[in-house]
Order: sequence, then structure tokens, then C-alpha cells
Amino acid sequence: MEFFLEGLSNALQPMTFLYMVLGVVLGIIIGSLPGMTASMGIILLLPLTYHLNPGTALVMLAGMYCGSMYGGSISAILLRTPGTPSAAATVLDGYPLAQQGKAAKAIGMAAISSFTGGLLSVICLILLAPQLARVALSFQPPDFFMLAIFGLTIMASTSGGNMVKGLISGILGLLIASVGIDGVMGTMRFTFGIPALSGGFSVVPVMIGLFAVPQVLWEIEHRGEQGSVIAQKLEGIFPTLPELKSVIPALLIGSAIGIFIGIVPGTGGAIACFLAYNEVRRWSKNKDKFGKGALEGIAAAESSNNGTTGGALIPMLSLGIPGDVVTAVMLGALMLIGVRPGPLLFTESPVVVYTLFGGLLLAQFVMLFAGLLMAKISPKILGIPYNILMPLVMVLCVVGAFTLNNNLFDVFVVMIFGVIGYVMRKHDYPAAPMVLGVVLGPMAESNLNRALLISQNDWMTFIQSPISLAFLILSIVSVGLALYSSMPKKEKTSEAVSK
Amino acid sequence: MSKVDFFSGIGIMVFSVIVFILAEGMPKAELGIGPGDYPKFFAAFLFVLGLGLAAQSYLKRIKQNKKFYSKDGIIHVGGLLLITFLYIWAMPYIGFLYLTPFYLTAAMLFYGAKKLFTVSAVSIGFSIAIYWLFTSVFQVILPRFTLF
Repeated sequence: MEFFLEGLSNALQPMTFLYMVLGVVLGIIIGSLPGMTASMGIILLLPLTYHLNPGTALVMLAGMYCGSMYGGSISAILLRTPGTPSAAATVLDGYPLAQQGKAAKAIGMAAISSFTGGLLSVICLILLAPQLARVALSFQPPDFFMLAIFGLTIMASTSGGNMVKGLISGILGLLIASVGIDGVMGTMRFTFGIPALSGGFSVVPVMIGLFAVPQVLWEIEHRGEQGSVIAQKLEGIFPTLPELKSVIPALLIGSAIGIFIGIVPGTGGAIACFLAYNEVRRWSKNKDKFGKGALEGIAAAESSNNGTTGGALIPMLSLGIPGDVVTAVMLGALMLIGVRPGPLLFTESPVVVYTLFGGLLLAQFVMLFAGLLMAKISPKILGIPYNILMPLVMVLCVVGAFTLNNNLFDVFVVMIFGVIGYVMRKHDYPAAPMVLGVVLGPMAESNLNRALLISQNDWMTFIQSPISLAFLILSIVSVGLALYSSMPKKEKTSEAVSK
Repeated sequence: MSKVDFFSGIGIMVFSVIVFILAEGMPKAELGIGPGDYPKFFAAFLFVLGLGLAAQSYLKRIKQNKKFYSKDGIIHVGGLLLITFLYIWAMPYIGFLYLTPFYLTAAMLFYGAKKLFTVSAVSIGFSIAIYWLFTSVFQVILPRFTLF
């Protein structure tokens, strides 16, 4: 307790607090720019950390991490372009709500949800880090594979009205993810002699292409048919009391899923947001509102993606195993500033660790404040006429894709998937399952291979592990529930009548 | 469901067969799954889904009243795509800072913006702002003029 108080007081030192605020604000800006990811933000701040003491440096990086996870929701809500992969699920309800003139409420809800998820994950980090770290160690390849399969069952519920089209979209995503060099035998798959395809397709250009570009094309196709500006209601940033009560379960479920997924190495916010969205929707009394601007949908997605921040730091700090890409970069940053994560960190450098904890706790409040401010300011973007706004969005997509690898190939990928996404949208094929397939496909295949190699092709390995068996049962239940809820209502009515 | 869905289903079935054939030619693995096994599995699944979609559309036999593409829509979308692809292609030679204002102006006018002064000012201002943000703040190198 004294270490924590000392850490908190270190985090409240003026310069440390200022650097933390800088990290959060820059994180929000970077997160909101499509193509700029949290890991890039951390890399950008690295040179600054050389001149700072380790505690201050860590706090600044952690602020960047939290801010960028929230920042992705702003462009997701306003422009239908997730700023980071973790905000992909926020598009599903955030954008429709903005189209109803309630962008401020959507961004405000995102800020509150991110705060809740982040705060709960930091509390878990502080109280339970060593215990929860053992969970990270217990995951084996069969468990990762089954987790990916469970994640893929979400395709059915993110399909909107048509499950067949949703599944087609998802399977195509899985096939897209298989393009490139095979991870085990090094075979070139579906590259057709194009060297740029040997690395496959990155998630970010595919996501920008499938979400943002079709919207730009849609608007130019329908130019003149609708008003160029959607009037935004700037009051009502805070949810009303009944609205807040209705989203509490979503916040708690989303945060729990985010913390759990964050702890599991190699996963991250992109998986957590869809899983949480799916589970909240499954148990919600207002299932029909999801996809049309449900606050619960935003709450689930945002609380889970910020819930992964504390969760991902647990194995990183306790075991030196990064929970996701961002913590992998942070691990490198820690080594550079002379901090060695691992089992001895808490005993060798308790002040640094607890300064980080204190800084993380404060960062949530700073993020909430900044987020609510953004909720007041950023919806004004939608006041820009579409004939001005949409070309600007297109340039942001181009620049965002280019910054990933300094390669124009990624920009062409964005445009090609943009055309694909536009055609899909015209024919009612949902884009979210395809993104899910691209995100989860590599994880599923590589862990399936590892599991079979270790078990010498014994498929029983997937039911021998309790974790794997649990995910298998959850997947079957998930598919069953999705099939049941997709049954036409007439059949259900006629069954009731015949009884 | 519509005739378009019926033909989409057929198209998906054909696509999945092509993927299956391509994957069949990949090396087999003695342990674990080979590079071709994973895509083959999903191609088979896709074939079934395509068949389901085509069958669903055929059985419902709804008359297609919805027009998916209009002539104006195709011209506008096609035009924007064309200038965007030209923009991306020309960027390594002309550079981001010089080319983007022209692209933005063209795209905005194509979108129906009327005030040339406003359009030009926004295009130039936005291009400079983005260039500064990415090159000076984020330290990301954007394409520069390299024609000579």
C-alpha cells in the first residue's frame, strides 16, 4: 500500500503529470487517425523517453496507450473509419448513431466506456497482476486455436440480417488472410508471382478499405439525394440516468472480456471488441437495436478495447511476455530505459512499477476529461459539407495506409478493398465478418498447426485441455444461439399456435 | 433476395472451386496441416454457402425491382476511382505536397462543390497541414517530388 501511495504521488509530480497528459492527448490524436496505431505512437514517443526518468517515461507511454485505444472510436463514429483495429466494432453502432444526429452522445458514451474499461483493468493490474499472469502462462496452442474459433462464431451475429451473406464475407476474410507465405512450410500461397503479396494483407489497410472507402464512394454516388450535412445535437454528451442504467451490464461484460483477452498473449483489442460486442448483444433485451445506434453496442466495444490495456500489461510486467503488439513495443521501450520486466520487477523496481500504476489510474481520468471535450468539439466535423469532407477522408485513408510501411502497395490494397467493400455494401454483404476473418485467420491457422505438430496429429488434443474444451463448448452454444435467433419469426409463431 | 444473389451464389461457387484447385497443387504436410489444407477447407465451406445463397434466391424467385447501379452513379464512382488511382500512381513522382491539392480540388469539384476559392483554400491548407503533421510531428516520410 505504501508503494502504491508513493507511486501515486510520483505520478502527481508536475512534470510527470504533464508528460502523462501529453501522452494521453497525443494518443487520442494518433488513435483517431486511420492507419496510425498505438504501437506507432509509442515508437514516436521513444526518443523523448531517453531524457526522462524511467517512471515518468513509463507513465507517458501508458498514457499514449490508453489515449490511442479510445481515440480510434472518434473516427469510427464520425467517419465510419476505425482509427485503430480495436475500434472496428464501434463502427457498428457508433456511426449509425452519428447519422441520427447524436455524434456527441456516441463519442461521450465511448469516452465513458473507455474510462470504465480502463479503470477496471488498472484495478485488476494493481491487485491481481501476479495471479492473473499465471492465466497467461496456462494458454497452449489448442487453447489459442479454440479461442480463435470462438471468436469466428461471432461472424454469425455481426452479419446483420443475412447470415449466409455474413458467413460468405467471413470465409472470404479467412481466405484473404491465407495469402502470403505459409507459416510452417514457407510456401507462397495465392501470390501469383507478386513479391508484395508475400507478406500477405495487413489488417489496417483491409479495414480502412472495407469501412471508409465504400462510404466515400457511396456518398458520391448519392450526391444531391440527401442533405450534405447532418445536423448534430451537441447537447446530451452524458447519457441520461435510464440510458446509463441500461449500459451498465454492457460496461461490465465488455470490461471483463477486455481484461481477459488482454491477459492472453497474442490477442488484443481487435478480438476483444468483437467478442464483447457479440456477448453483450446476445444477452441484451434490445437485440434489435444493435447495428442501428445502440448505446450498449458502443459501451461493449469501447469498454473491452480499453479493458485490454491493463490486461495486456499484466503478462508484460509480470512475465516479460507481451499481451499484444503494443505491449511488445512497450517491452522494447522498457528495455531501452533500463527496466527489465519479469518476475523480479516488482521486487527490484517497485517504485517504478507503482509509479506506472499510479500514472495509469490518473490517465483514465485525463482520458475521460479529454474524451468528453472531444465529444463537444469533434462532431463539428460532420458540419462540413460532404462534398468537402469526403475527399479529405479519402486523402486521410491514403496517407494512413502509406504510413504503415512507407509503401504505396498498402494504399493500392486500401483502394482495391474499397471497391470490394462498395460492391459488398451494394449487395448487402456485411464488412465486419470479413475484417474478423482477416484478424483471426492467422491466429487460428498457426495455432492449429502448432497444436497438431505438438500432439503428432492427434485431434483429441482440442478436447483434452479444459480451456480448449470450454471454448469449444462455448463456440457450439454460440453457433446454436445464432442459428436459433436467425429463425424466421413466422416459424416461431406457427409453432406457438400449433402448441 | 434477387436474381443478382442467384448469380452471386454461382460466382462464389466458381470462385471456391478455383481456390480449391489452386490449393490442391500446394505441398502436403506429414504432420500438422499443409499450406493447402486450410484454404481448401474454407473453399469447400464457401462452395456450400454459395450453393445455399443461389438455392435460396432461386426458391424465393422474387422479381428484381431494385436497381443496383445507375448510369450517373457509375460515372461518379468510376470517375472518383479513376482520379484517385491516378493520384496514387503519380505520387512517387510528383510528391504528396504538390499533388494532393490538385487531387482534392478535382475530387471536391467532382463531388459537386461550387465555390472554387473555398475548395482551393481547403485543398491547399489541408495538404500542408497533413504534410507538416506527418513529416514534422510523426516523423513519417511522405512521398516527395522525384521527377528529375
